[in-house]
Amino acid sequence: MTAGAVTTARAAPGGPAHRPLDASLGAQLRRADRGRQIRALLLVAPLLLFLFVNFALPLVLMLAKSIDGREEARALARTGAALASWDGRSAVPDAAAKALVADLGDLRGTPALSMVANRLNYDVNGMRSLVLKTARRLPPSGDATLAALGSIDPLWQRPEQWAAVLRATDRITSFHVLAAVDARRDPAGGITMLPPQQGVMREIFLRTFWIASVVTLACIVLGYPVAYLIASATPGWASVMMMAVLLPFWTSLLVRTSAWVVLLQTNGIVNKGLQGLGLTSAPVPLVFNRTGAYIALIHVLLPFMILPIYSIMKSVKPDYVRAAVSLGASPVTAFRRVYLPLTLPGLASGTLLVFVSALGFYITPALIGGAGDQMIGFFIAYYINDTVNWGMAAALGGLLLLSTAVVFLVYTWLAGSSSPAWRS
Amino acid sequence: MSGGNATHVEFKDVCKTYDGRTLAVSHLDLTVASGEFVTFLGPSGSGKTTSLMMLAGFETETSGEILIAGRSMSRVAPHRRNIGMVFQNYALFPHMTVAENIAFPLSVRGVPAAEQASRVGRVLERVRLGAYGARRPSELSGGQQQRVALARALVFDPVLILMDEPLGALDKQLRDQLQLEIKHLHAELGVTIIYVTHDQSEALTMSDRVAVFNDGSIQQIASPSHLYRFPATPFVAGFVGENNQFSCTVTAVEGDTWTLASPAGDPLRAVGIGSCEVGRSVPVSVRPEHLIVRPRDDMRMIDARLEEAIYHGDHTRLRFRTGWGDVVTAKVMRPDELGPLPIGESMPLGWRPEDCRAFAA
Repeated sequence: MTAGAVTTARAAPGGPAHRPLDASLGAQLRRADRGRQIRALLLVAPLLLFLFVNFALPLVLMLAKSIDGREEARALARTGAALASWDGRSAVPDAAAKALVADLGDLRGTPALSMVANRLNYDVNGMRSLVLKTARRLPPSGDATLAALGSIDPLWQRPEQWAAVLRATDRITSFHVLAAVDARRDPAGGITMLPPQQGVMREIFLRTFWIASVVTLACIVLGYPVAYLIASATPGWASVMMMAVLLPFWTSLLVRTSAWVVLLQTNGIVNKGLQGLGLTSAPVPLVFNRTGAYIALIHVLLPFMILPIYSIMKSVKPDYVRAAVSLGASPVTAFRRVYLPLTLPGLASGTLLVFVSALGFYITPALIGGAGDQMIGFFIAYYINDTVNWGMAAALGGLLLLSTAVVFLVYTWLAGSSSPAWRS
Repeated sequence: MSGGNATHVEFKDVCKTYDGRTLAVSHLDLTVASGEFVTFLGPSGSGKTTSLMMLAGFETETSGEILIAGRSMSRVAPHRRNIGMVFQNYALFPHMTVAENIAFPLSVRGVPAAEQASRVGRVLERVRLGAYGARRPSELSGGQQQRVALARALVFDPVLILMDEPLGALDKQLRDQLQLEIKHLHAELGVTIIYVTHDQSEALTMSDRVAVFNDGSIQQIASPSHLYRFPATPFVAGFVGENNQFSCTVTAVEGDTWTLASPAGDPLRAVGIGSCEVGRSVPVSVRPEHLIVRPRDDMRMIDARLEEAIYHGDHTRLRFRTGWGDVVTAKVMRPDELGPLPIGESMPLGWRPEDCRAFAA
């Protein structure tokens, strides 16, 4: 400031000519800052590169899989062109039958045939065997009419099969994304929802959110008092209790989950204990069902709730509660109107951490839950590993990512509106 | 003492121990009259804050009893004691505005919203913060925050207000100003105030009576001027105001006028506190402003060598080294009237016997 004023005065006392000087000062400042920015960027460059190669790039490539229909479109290129002007309802032109016969002829004997057959089968059940059967008995190309295909299998007479073929020829396809929400395109190109008994994805998503919510709620109820206890204990006891919270946190997730299976099984220590205390006469089913999944998930995620709440509680001085009580607030009122609002940011970040982690949980419910307790992560793995339907896995993963982003946006919106200028 | 004479707060033989071995507060007996301003003065760890916290209900007395308006508080929860309290760090709720903070004691008492608003407005005017109701506490200066805390403690018309080092975090100028404001509020409202501080000048400025705490018990409780002029123990003499202290041997006791011998053998006279036999060594204290340089012969007590003269504008401090090695300081308003004061020269010092106190305890 002073330096600038001195320079200005020396150059042109009181005149408008000081502008260029100020501008050059600004340029100097920017140049100096730029040097610092470049240095900072170079320092984080390895990390950024690592993140890009190992995180951002795979993420984008995987998400792209959910809308990528290029392989199928290439394999059925001639059919796609022949069906381009078809309205989806009227009789299929013979040219299309001819093109399909030509495409299948080229595909016969290559792995791409099976890929196309699978893709069509995801859309309309039975298409896989229809395509494979047709490929085996292809009519000569000169005689390739709709009627000829119909004689191989009368299903070819129906527009539904052809609509599925047409849908498989889109280079960019909404098929997997729609399937991930139990929807599909009807022959006319509109979007329809599957009837409830056919759609499973909605139920799986609802189940995932439900389990995550129950686990989060349980972590709040269990974690908040523990955090309070640690925050208000003497330093010695606080470090003992903190150890008890952190020790499982440092243990491998797989080990902890397997340990719960051992503890909770029919002849496990928990059931033996319950029977020994006379609380139950027969073993309680605690594992490979929802109860077991809840127990293990809550145990695994509890530290994520306790730690942020604890750190906020440590920063809330006991004088606030004392002041509230001295002003006439009962302990319950002082808690509700002073302590809880002051610790709410910790509660909110703990809730976010636990809920988002729970949404994507895979190992623990997979090992300890039953068939009806699997969450979305299990199905992503299932589509990747078992059915090798990467498009569907990518669509489900994208949807999970989207849900997480929405949860996070809601969190930042709530945190931004309720708290606080006073924390900054 | 302002206000009535009825006993408002009474500590009856109150003890408090945290560890079961040492007493943080030891056999405290104290009565505070209605409308009185009493300050608990003492160093940290002297039991003054613990006593205040027991009165507020945040600590439980180990034995003894505390009464407010004649009623035992031992079974009264802190939030039912109807005490306004002001904390050192203000303890304003950061998630509420100034107005919400002040309305808090009203809203927990179920006062209707319209009445809350008018009472908050009135008390904000009283602490001269009328325009600040919508702000957050963090947007106010330290002095303003403490005024809000004061307003919050006053708004529900408590008859007893406790202040725990309320000005400790403020700079000196602001502290002086707020001391006067609190004093004026006390005079206007006629409430009883118990004020805790370790700052002796604050205690002397504001209080009707000062209770000096040390080691868990009250050393002396008296009006500020009495405390200053007639300290009852060597601790009070040293803690309240400045004092020169040294040990002397008692050579004769005549009522409360004692004759003593300084370590160098000079005969000197002082007011004796307590009873004491001849031959004992006792602490003697005399204030710097009572030390006379080159006194008349009948007030001459000791000889000391001048080491340093420190100019303070309105007065000058002269540092002397006594023959036995102690440092004594004299506060002189007009050093030029004393003649030349060459550094390093020995000169006679004295005092009026009634200005010097010797403690048997």
